[in-house]
Amino acid sequence: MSALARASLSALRRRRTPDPEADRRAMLALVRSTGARGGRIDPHRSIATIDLAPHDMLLAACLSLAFLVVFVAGLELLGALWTGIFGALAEPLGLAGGVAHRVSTVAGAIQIAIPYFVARAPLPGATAWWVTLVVTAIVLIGTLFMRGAWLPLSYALRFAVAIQASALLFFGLVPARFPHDLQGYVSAMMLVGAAIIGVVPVVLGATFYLMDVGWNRKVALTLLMMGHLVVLVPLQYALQAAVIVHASLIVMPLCFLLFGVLPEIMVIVALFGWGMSWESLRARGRRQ
Amino acid sequence: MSLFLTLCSWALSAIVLVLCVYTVRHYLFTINRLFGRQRHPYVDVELARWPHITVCIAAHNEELVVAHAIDALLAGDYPRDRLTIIPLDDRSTDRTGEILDDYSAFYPELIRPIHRFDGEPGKAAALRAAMEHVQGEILIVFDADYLPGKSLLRQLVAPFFDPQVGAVMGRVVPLNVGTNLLTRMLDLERSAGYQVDQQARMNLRLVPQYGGTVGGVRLRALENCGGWRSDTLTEDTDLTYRLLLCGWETVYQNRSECYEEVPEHWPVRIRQITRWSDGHNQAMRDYAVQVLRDRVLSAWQRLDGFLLLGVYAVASMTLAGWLLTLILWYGGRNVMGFSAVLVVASYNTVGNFASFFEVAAAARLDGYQGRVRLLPLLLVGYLVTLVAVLRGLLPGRRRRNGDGGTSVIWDKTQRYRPDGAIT
Repeated sequence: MSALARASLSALRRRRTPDPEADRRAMLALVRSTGARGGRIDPHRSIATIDLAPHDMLLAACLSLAFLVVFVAGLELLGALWTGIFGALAEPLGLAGGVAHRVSTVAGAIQIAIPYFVARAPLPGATAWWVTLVVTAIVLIGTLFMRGAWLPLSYALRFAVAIQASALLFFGLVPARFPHDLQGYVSAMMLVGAAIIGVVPVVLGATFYLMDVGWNRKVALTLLMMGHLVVLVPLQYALQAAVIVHASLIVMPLCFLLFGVLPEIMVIVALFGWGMSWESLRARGRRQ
Repeated sequence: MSLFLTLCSWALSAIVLVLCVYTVRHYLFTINRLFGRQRHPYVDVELARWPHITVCIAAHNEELVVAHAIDALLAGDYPRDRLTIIPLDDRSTDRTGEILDDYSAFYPELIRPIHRFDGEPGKAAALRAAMEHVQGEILIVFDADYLPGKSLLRQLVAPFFDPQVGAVMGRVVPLNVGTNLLTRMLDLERSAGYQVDQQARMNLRLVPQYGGTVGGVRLRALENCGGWRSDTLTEDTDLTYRLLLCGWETVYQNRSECYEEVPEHWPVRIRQITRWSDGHNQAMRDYAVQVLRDRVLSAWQRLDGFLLLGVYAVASMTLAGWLLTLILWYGGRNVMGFSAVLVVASYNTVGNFASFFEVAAAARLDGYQGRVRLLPLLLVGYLVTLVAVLRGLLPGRRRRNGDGGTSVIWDKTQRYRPDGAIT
């Protein structure tokens, strides 16, 4: 007899008040889904669903809340960690001036010290502008030769070219009116990164936590996602800061739209996809 | 300049609002499909006095696949004395007509091909030409690359015992999933579209979509709503809405699975999406206001019908949203109190995630959750879809006829199956 069938039978036996009709229905349901050798017959995929009991929803809510509370409580530590990472990377990346931090208040009460590099990124000079133009043109021409299976990559590159072309246009016409500097950009994007990490348990609570996988796996996936982002975000923006300082502000629009939030979201989606590929409790029970 | 940026802010806010509506829609559909009560009212109909039906197979240069479709139908269990198969040889220049004539010689009472050598191009025009040869009250339609299973015809016909049902749609399952990355991604997309979207609409009594193949239509309902329209690139979407507005119900049968060949090359996929997008947007222009104003439909049906019409327009809006974000960012402007960065970030986090959740849930229900690991690569497919949808907005797929009307220009979908691969 399968583990599930055994569980159903024991649930029948545990009933405190006698209810013959309910027992009969439960037994009938059990017999209908039990194979000749005692295994479970799963419904066809067209009618398959996932069982969601009230305690599953409660667990999802509790897990989300718990991770959120831990995250908020650990914001000070997170700020210190990121400041430490920036401090360690500033010199090797050639970012003169070291690191400072800016305290941001979220939702009126939660405070986080977001680090940023003190180094200043220059406006593009004539050389930087022309070099960017040539590189952009080469990439655009290169995409014209990408066919077949490379077509999606060529579209992605053309998308990048379009963003870079807008930067060339802006810095070619009104460079002094560019409203962003490196410090503001890095601290804003780091704050967004922190917000994304905080959103992870909420999003998982509404999605992955409702799936029929064990609670330990739900915890593991959340830790994996949040942990990954905690490390990725400072490294990502330290690298961006180095690129912007050395290549000038002309590459900042590309960094913002293509290499800002997008890689972080892709990390979440990739790990979410991995988690959703994990075996269900029902399948594991059947195997055992 | 300030006024321009303010207008951009409002436009971006409106776009984000629309995207949020679609996010909620994706999420609710997925939750309903995963955990809700599933509605399959006709799936248990096994024994019945089966009506006479006609099966049409639209074929334009389909020599590689059309024989497989006919063989699969012949292997089915629908009573042969109540079945007529009409393969529509639509201006083919390859061996399609010859193959169909060979079959007709073997099964003269059962298979009655129609050869079209001129006239309007396209599936709807071919189906319209076939209508005078149709026998019975029910017309089932397949594309030539589809492989119906043994009991599929019975499953598709069963809902028509309900007199309110005007059309039935079955589930499309890709046959060539493992060929390359594109086919694997299309499998995930199809899975989400049918397992979750269509079934949730069926569960919630909203607007399941008639997909033009692996489906059937009641002739009385078809006549009632004006017959096939040949001036549209998506006659299926068009028919879905005309049936809806005429009070006929469209039923989705998730259990009625049929295999199809999905595009294996990106240019083929782009042409397909471009056609769908163009046709869908045409349906939006034709029916959006009527659907919203219809007093017979429930409020939820009106909302779902409207949102379904807008699915391709949303892709264009996403592109517009990115453009506006860039403009506002260059302008250093905030949106509704938040920086543009935060708006984009929140949408990317929560908005897109509902679609990924839908795809992953569908694959999990299908029992192929290993494929979910490809999830992040769907972004690649989405980028291509955006380009195709933009192309769909450009003119060039319609031409003006001598009589003042317009006709559509069709792209033939390439087939990949080696001759004789499936028998």
